[in-house]
Amino acid sequence: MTMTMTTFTRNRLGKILTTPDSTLLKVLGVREGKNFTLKVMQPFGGPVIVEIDNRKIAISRAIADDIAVVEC
Amino acid sequence: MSCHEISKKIDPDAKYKILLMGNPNVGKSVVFSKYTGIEAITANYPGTTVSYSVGNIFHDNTKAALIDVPGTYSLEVTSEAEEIAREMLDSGADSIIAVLDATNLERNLNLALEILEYNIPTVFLLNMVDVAERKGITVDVKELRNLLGAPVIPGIAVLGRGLNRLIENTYRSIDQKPQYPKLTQAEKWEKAKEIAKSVQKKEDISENRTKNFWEKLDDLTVSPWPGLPIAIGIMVSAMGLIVGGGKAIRSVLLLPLFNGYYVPFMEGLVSRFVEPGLLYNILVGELGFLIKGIEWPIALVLPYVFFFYIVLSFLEDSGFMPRLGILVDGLMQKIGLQGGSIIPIFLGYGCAVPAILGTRAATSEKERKIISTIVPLAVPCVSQLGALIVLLGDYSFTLVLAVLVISFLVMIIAGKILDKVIPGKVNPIIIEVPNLLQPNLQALLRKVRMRLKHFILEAELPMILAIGFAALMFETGALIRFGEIISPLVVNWLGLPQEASIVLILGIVRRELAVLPLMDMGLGIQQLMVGASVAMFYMPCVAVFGVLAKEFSFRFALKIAFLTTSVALLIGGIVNQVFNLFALLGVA
Repeated sequence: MTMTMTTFTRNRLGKILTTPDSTLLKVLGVREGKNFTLKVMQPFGGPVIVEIDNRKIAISRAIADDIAVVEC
Repeated sequence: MSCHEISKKIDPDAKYKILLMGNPNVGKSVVFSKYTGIEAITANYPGTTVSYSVGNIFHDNTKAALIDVPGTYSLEVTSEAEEIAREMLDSGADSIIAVLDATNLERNLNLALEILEYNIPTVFLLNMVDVAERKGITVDVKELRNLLGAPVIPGIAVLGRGLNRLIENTYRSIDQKPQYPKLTQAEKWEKAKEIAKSVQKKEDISENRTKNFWEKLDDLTVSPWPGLPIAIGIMVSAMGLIVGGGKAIRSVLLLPLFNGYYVPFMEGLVSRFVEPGLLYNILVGELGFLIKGIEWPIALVLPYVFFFYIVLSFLEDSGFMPRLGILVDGLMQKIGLQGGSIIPIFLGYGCAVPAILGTRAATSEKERKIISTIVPLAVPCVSQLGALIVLLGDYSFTLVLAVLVISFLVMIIAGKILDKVIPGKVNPIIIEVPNLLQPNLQALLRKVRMRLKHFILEAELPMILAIGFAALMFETGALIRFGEIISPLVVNWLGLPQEASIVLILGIVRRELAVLPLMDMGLGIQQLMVGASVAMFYMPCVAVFGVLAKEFSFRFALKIAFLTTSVALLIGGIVNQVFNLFALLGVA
């Protein structure tokens, strides 16, 4: 089932389907086909923290909302 | 006019020009320092080097200019720092040293492929092979060399390992004329992925190994619980260390030395050659610059600066700063910023110059402008903070806290207004969270020593000149006349004694000078608070004005000077009137 990165279950392995067009996202490994785990959602509209290739990346919630993912 | 001026000129004797490039936070500046002996500021998060620096390197009796280029994830420009990197490449070079992070090969390889397309001879340093091994990652260097078609040297830059071979290979590569195929961006990602896959062996060691203290902390500090309490704990202890440690060194060591030995010695020395009178007073009198010029920066402010630098360097090297950014992102959005902005703002508590330069890593002009306005306005630099602690802390520490609370309020209000006034939009947070690392003690002490040296060199000369000028005005009576002119402002609106007008002049030179002269005026609690508030928001010092003009425009710098001065006088007056009101109510 397709969902967005912000509605994904924590600590479960997921796969990225589509992302907004952003160079910064791409270079940090947030690209189509990449596996990730959602680690934390920060409160007060703060970012989500995902782990991709053993690296933690913080992504603003507004952007994470536009990232379609699927469970592996 | 920078706090950390490093040469930007290429030595005309240098035969070659070598660029040092790579992703952010892969250790380029470490390599640069090892080769050139120039100490560049390094830290454990992306974006420490936002401007390039040039140093000389010798090999085979030939001099080459080595240029430390700001780190970039790719050559597609998203920030000012990346634009600088792109320009450096476009202007050409004899060779490139590209640093790759062995723990994160795929992403690094994408930039590697982009660099190779320029057809400049390139040699790769596969850095941090030790960290990679600890994570169970091994890289087949020979295979990587074949696939990239360029030399790859494995090494550990912080320990200097691999650096001799690296420079040998770099010099040897210079006359080659490589031809690499041009690929589309998508092809490059695909190729990077393939290369990473075929040269990297990952062994899953996470299960059969217990995590050490820093690795456990790594996970804990990114979650709001217990990350937020930990962050608050760290900030409170940092403040305690700076205030307590600074005061201890000042009162136990420096002041006794200063008053017991230095002052009598100087007075004795000067009285041998100079008759009592104007000159004598300017040298060693009440505002004598041989006395105050040493007492203020060295005996009073330096101890706080020392402890601040320890805290700052620790937070930088551990990788804690970006974590703080993540935790406060939600709150920062409310004032038009994003969590990552916390790093330049925090640097501003050291000095506004590197803070403003640091905004080059920001991805929008609006964010740069908001930070570059807030920092000179409401973030006290370390010398000023030290001076405020000296002025108020001896009375009561609550006063220091009160002034800091006022500064936070102003920061929030200013952020809100600037967010509305400055057109454009701030890009939401996307940052890499570096691994939390135990800071290396030697590297940390070296950094503290280097910053202290800068502080003393940069503080002393303007300080002595400014105090000399003040002494002259004081002794000749010019100060009294100036005080009379602006008396309505200083005496009526701010409720300060007329002689306090001196801080409005001296504060232009250095920010602690907007505070320290108030010390010997016998002020009461109300006047202390007013004086401290004015100083807190008063106009940027000359160095900061210079960097604002250079980074933005002279107009922008003038606007900031006008804004800060108005806010300073406004808030100072409000504090004064509030105290008056309370006094009135108390009487009634």
